[in-house]
Amino acid sequence: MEGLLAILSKVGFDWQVAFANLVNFLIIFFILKHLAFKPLQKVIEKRKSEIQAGLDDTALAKTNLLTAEQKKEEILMIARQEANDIIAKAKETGDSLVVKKTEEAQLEYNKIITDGKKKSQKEFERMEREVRGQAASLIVASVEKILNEDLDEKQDKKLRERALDMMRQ
Amino acid sequence: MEWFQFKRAIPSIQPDFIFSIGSFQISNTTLYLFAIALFLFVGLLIMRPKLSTLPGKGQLMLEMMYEGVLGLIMQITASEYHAKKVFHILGALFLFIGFANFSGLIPGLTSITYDGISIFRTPTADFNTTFALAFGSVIVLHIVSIGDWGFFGHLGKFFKFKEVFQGFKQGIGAGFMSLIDFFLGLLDIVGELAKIVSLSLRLFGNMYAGEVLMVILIGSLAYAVPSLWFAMSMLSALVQAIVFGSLVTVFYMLAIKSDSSSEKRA
Repeated sequence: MEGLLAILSKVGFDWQVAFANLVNFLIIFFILKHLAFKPLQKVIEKRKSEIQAGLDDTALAKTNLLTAEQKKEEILMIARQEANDIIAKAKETGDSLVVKKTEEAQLEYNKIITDGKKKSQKEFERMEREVRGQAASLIVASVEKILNEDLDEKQDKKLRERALDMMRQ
Repeated sequence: MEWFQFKRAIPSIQPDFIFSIGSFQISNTTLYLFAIALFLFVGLLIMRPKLSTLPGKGQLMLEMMYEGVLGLIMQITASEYHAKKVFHILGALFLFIGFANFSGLIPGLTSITYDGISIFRTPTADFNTTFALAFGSVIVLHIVSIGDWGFFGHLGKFFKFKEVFQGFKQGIGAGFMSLIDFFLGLLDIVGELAKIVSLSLRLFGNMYAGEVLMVILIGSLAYAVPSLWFAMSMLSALVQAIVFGSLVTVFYMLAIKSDSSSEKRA
């Protein structure tokens, strides 16, 4: 051992210096461990977790986007189906309404025509009666003038009736 | 050869003492290491609150070193569990040696003298620093090995009595083979000492030789060549830090069980 120490002393070995330098290394080790390695490790781990969280979020967003697109397609398909149903139903309702209204209009038309005819007939008959009455009066007046004599009430009535009968014929 | 001469003093292989505290002498490398520790402490204390997930330039540089060293240890151990387990001590070793090697290349720093002695000397160009590192590393490796194998399991790697007993129980041939294995186990004790010597002398030799050659080249050839050697020294400083750290990492992997139960538990 002494021989080894003698050899080592030739290259400058001194246990005191070696011990002091070892202590210095240990001091540097503790400084690096507590002020560099551990804080750096924490920061790197935090960054890695943040990046991972970002990647996870991106993947989740992509999945959500795909799901949303699928849902959108499904909703659109249902909406199209519903729209088609509504249009078909509306068309059906419209057609039946047109038929119904047409029938109602036809009935109304017929009623108006019938009522018009009846009214015309009544008016015609009333006018006929008036014309006849007036014509009878005119005839009586004419006959009176021709005869230059006043007819009594009885004759007048008789004449009027005869005039009316003639007109009827 | 009169044209080839240099006037600068070649650094001594022996440690230079600046002052003493009682009977304890303080060398220039000890002082330099203390200055590095102080610099790191102050620098990191200022930097620490500024660390954020959006790094600045300084933090990026620190993170690059952190990731680089962790990646290297992970490559050697081929295990994330072991790399993270030993990163603090091995990472500190990597960075300490790298920083110490590079600190000797700061121009003008070694020219600051006190009583004719350079105050700052490349720490790894002093055998005491490299020896302390190698000795400390081997002690840590033995502690790790005891933690993994158990105390008697660890001793059993060097004193293979059990294997000799089992070998002779099987037969004479197997017994003699186990005897050879027993002597190889004893040789491993020498190997552990050799680890300290080889690790420390390799780093010290490279750094000290580099420093001596730098003095010779700067003293004799003022232009071009010293610059090239300066660049070479920077590469050497980095390579030596990697070599030392890598070897300790390899020794760590040899010290633990190959199918480490602790890794399985983790």
